[in-house]
Amino acid sequence: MSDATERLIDGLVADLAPVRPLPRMRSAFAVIVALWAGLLGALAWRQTTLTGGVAAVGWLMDRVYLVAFVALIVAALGGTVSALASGTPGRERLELGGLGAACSGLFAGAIVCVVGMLGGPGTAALVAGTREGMCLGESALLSLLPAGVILAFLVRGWAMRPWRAAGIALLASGALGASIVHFGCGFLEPGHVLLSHLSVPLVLVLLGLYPLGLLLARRTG
Amino acid sequence: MAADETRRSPDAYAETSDARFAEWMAAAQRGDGDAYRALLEALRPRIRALVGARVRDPAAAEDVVQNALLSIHRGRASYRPERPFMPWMRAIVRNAIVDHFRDRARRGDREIPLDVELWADDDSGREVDDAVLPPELAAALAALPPAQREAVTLIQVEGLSVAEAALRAGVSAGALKVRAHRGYRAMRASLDGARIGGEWRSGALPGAGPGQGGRGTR
Repeated sequence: MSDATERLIDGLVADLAPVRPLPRMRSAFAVIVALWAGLLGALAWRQTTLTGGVAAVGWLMDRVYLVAFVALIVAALGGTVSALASGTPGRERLELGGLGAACSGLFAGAIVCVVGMLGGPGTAALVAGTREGMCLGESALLSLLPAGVILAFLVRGWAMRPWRAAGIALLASGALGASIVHFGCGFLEPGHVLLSHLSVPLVLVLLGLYPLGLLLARRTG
Repeated sequence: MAADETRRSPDAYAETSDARFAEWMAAAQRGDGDAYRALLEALRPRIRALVGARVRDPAAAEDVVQNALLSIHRGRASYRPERPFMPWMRAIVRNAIVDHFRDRARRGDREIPLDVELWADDDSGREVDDAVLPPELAAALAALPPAQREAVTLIQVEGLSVAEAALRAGVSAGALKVRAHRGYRAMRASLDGARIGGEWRSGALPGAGPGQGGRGTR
């Protein structure tokens, strides 16, 4: 063995301090899903109260809107699994599998929306700005909580590919937030769904990748 | 853990089972230094074998082994004792190898040639302080921001490997390399600015007063 490696091992042993092992991935996943379900439940309860006992989920009859909801859930859950796995060495298959599910979900949702736009009245019904901005903003706000949990997990863990981990975490958080907003929005226009709900994960990745990636890269890079 | 158990020859660890590694790592997470030393000593030949299969140059392979050991150290909290140890360790080693090849691919663009002969004659390899550096080089070093100066000093003056220097500086190996690279670039610019027609310009560098700048005429 080289002297340098011997010295390094001595240094590592001297630098040893007790650490708490990373929480189980499934525990972190359960916390995130519970948060998401809690927010979704609170929204459903509020809507039920406002509408005098009838939940405003008339969109269940709209196929495009329903498919987009399922797509967002797949993206949210797949992305969350992938993001958590990216902070744990040896879980690369899970990471790539989750990422594949998330991207496939968003892609399928986008395709369905585009097909819906082509078959419907087009984008004439889109109210430029106001409603889209509101949904985007609310989604981003609702993404903060799950993003915080995922980030805490990644910071305690060991994200070997910090930039990829940051991107997946943002994608998952965006999909989690957007799925809640999608549940309560009820504006069935496919163009709106595409621009203001399905695009949220992408927007968050674009906005947050640099700071979050830098934060993780400083730790592991 | 008994101390003699931690000082076995590397070959003695060849048959160490995954469960034993997991046990040692769990003890290391609780702060048991003897178990941690046993773990690192036992891992070393395995890591070297994994790295040696991909990295032919022995010196580069040793650097990769060290970076992998540092990553294992820094990321030890990410291991959960109920899970198998080897996949966790292999993933970290694989990542260190990938980083090595990425680094090598980028090196052509990033390498900053300094006049290496200017560095102190450090046959001893370490324990060299700024006092033995040529004044112009010492001045260029002193002009660096503290983080860059620390990185350059640890690697070039004290002769530590990147992993050792990163451990000492409390940063990742990648971050230390970036700091050192920025330091080399700044020193290069500083040294170039201090030379006119191959001669050192007197007092061109902070701390290099008249009569101190005549040595580096290369």
